[in-house]
Amino acid sequence: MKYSNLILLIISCLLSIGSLQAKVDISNDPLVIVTNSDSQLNELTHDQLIGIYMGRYRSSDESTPILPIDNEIYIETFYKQIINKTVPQVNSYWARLKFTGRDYKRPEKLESSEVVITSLISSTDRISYIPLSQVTDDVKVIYEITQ
Amino acid sequence: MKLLNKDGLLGKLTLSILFTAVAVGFIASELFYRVVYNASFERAEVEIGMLHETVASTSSIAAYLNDTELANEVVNGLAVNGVVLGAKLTTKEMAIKNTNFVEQGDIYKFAIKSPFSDTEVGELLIVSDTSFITNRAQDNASYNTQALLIQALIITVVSILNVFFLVSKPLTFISNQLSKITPPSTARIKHPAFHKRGELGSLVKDVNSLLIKTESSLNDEQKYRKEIEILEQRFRLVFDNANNPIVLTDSQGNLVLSNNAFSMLLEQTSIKMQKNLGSFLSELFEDASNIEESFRKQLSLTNTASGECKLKLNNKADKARWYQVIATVIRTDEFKDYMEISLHDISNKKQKLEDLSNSLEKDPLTNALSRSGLSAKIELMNHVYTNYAVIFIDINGFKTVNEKYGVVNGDQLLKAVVARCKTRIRQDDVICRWGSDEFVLILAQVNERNVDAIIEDINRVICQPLTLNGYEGHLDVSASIGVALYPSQGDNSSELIQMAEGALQAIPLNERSNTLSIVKFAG
Repeated sequence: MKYSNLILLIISCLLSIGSLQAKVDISNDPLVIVTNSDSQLNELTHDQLIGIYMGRYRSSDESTPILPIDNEIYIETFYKQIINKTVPQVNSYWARLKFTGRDYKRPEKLESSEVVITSLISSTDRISYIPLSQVTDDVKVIYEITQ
Repeated sequence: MKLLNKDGLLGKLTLSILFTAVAVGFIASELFYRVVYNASFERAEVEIGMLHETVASTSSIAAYLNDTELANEVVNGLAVNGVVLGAKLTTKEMAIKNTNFVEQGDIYKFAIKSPFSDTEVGELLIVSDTSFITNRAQDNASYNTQALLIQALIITVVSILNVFFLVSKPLTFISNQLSKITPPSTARIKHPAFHKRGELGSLVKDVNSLLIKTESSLNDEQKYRKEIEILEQRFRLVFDNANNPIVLTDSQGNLVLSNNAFSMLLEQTSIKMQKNLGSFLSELFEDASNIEESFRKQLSLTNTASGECKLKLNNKADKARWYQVIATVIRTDEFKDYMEISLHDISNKKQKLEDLSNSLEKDPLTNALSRSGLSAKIELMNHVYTNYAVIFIDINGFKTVNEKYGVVNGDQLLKAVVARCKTRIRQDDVICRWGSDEFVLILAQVNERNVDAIIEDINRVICQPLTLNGYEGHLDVSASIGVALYPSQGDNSSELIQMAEGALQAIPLNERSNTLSIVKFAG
């Protein structure tokens, strides 16, 4: 399975070269999930990532709670890539959960990658996403979003 | 008039329509119920599928997040629908169901996928409310049945009204009129309103034409009957007022009809009017058995018989009454035999004959009629009898007898011949001494058929041997006979006598001298 996916990916990449300049930029500089370099969290699966960002894993349920943070610059691309939904759809999803009476917390939204990194540095239980090119030594990559 | 009579058109129609409506309604509602029942279940399945579509995203989120609140919302929201009895939402971590949920009956199972991927995160069970669906089907079916019943009722009523106004009422109208008409009458049936044409119109037309025919044929019949009555009255008048007694009897001799003259005749006798007076009325007359025999004989040859009969009188001292009785067989068209018997009074003629024969000259020797009295007697018989025979007799060898045995014995022979002839002739018959040894007999009612037998008979008696006085042994007697018949051979008496004599003369003399009698017929 993985090989075939890889082959498909390669073929699609080859086909789209030159015609999709923006995507070339993204594939060259993919979004990665980062956390405090001191954090015990070293790896994430795709499902765990979705679970964290869509409220399935709540801080109260986990021994080591993880707080997801949205990067406002890349929010559109992020949700498109991980769950194939637009931001309004995601907004609607959270709006629906608001009336269940339970304590669902939408990820905190920060305005830039710098602010995100600053926030990650301040605590070890936070994760967020930034382009791979902006990764600093203060944070470590625990997941790379592939297409 | 009864509107609903079991045997009437309306009653029968009502029963049949009601029966059909009920039967068809029953079958239709039964069929419809099944169709609706099945349709209701199919609809329920579709409804449940659609309900699932409606709650799919919410249930997906609820299962993904293992959110009991959302799951309750989904489950209770589903149960609000009548078609859903209960619902249950299960994930690995929770199982949310509403209070009515029981795992039985029709269970619809839907997999719940994550809102963000194709992975299954839970399962939604929806149980349909079978009783609700059944009730819904029943309700639909019962509405339908009610509609059918109402329709059947309306159709029945409309049909009854139609038949009543279009058929029954006009028919009754016709039959009421018809029952008042007694043919022959000039009354005719009127057309019922709005039925000038069509079947009822033609029925009325046909009935009227039948009435016309009946009227005319009845009128004709009455006319004929009147004519026959008048004719019968006339005939009866003739019959009743006839001078001659006339009766009609059946083949057994029972009286069927008799006229006044017959009743008057009966009054003169000691016999009362009764049903049967014997064949040919023989009881009225003397010598009844002979009359009957004679009539039967005649009737076996022809259909008319006649005879002269003497009435049995009440008072024996009265003058004798003679009747010629003529009986005629009448055969009707139906081959039934009747006997018409008419009586004609011939007493006067009889009397005349008797008087005449008494007054006529007689031959003193033989007491036979003298030659001069014969012609008068024959004239008389011409009036009374329709046929008779003239017989001329000559005794063979009379002269020889006179010469040989004397005149006394000759006279005795003549007397013997007359006496012998008289034993064979009847009262009205005549015997006449024509010459010395010649005699003429006039025999009434003798014709070609019976003349032979009568002459043979007479010849036989004449030819008996005769004993002579003063001589032993006996004399053989013989005679020669000639005959002429009235009216077949002549209607003049002297001519007839000549013819008979001529017939006798034609016999050769040598044959006559024989003792054998030779009979020769005239003509």
